[in-house]
Amino acid sequence: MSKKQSSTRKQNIFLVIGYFLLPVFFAILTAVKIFNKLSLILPIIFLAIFCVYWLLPIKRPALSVLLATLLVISLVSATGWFFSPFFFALYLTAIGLGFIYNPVVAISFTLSLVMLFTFSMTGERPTYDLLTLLSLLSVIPITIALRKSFLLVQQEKKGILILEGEKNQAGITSLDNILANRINNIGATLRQPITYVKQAVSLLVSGKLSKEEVDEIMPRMQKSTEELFTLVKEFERETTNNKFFTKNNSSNTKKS
Amino acid sequence: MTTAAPHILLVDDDESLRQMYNLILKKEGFTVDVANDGVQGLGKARTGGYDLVLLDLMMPNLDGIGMLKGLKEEGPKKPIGPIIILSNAGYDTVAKEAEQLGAAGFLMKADLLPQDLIREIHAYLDRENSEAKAKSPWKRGRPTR
Repeated sequence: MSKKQSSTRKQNIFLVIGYFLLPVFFAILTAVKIFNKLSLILPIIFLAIFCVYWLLPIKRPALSVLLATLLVISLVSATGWFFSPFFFALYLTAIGLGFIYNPVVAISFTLSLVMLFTFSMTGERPTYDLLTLLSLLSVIPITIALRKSFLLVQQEKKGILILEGEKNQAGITSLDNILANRINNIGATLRQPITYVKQAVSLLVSGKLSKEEVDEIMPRMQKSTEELFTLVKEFERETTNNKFFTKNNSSNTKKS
Repeated sequence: MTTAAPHILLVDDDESLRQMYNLILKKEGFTVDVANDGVQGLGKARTGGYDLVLLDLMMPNLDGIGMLKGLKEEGPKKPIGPIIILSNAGYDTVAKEAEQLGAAGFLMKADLLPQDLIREIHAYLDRENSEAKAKSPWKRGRPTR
């Protein structure tokens, strides 16, 4: 296992444990009488922190997600947990975590909520409790299915390569992996015409080619270099979304 | 021991590179059969009789991994030599899977000059030949250089 993989794995374990413990922490906070009043002002504190953070020029994605999650859980816990009018936000948070990180984090977060709900069940309304439990658990397959569809749509839309061998992993591939795939795909595409030119030059230098073979190779070399420029242009256009590269314009002058 | 030229199957969708490799291999005295995608490649590989297969990864209709899977499901009628991945897609996961599916090696197109490719092919053929000799005395022999 490479150092990067090991670090990613550690990070994932940390996320899974962290997002499992977050609802538990708030549940304890609302259950303990001394902290009960504090739990009422926590949403306001987190909202203020979130707003200040939002105004900062540099944002860290992981911190943004954490602050949003804290705000949602604090709001739900302060307004009555499973009877809270903001309870739906927990479902959205779980689905969001599945998209932003991976489904395992979403599952961990959902299971934490399921566990808390199970503890709060009184047995007075068993049908209602069972339905709430089922609705919570339904977040898991919904997240996995939506994320898989999202990845496949992205693959089609942006030409992200998910080769046969990686299709099975699509459900657990993080956005980092998609980006890595995209970069690999671009690299592989760019290397094709370069490879042709490299091979052709080597053969031409060796002097082993007949005149007919040289005549055949030269236009293909020219075609390959043109293809290379086109690919670089397309790459720039796709990544920057600039429209200044047109078929008849090879300069970098932006058209207004 | 046969003295016939080694028979190579080249599976690549890029027309220019396919033509280039065809030229390089023929100049070295190999007999070359080409396929322009995985479906065509799989059909030819299943017929068998190749001393070595050069297989690209990223191809339309059926990619290199798909072709390896297809070959694993239904093997060739006549024996084939080592399958070498010859690709510009340097994916660790895919290279690993190709190896698990029976590919004997992975060559990066962009890293190889014509003479490097020929050297690698001969190395694979020699290795295959010596392994075949060691395994079974009646397995068909490979040409000596």
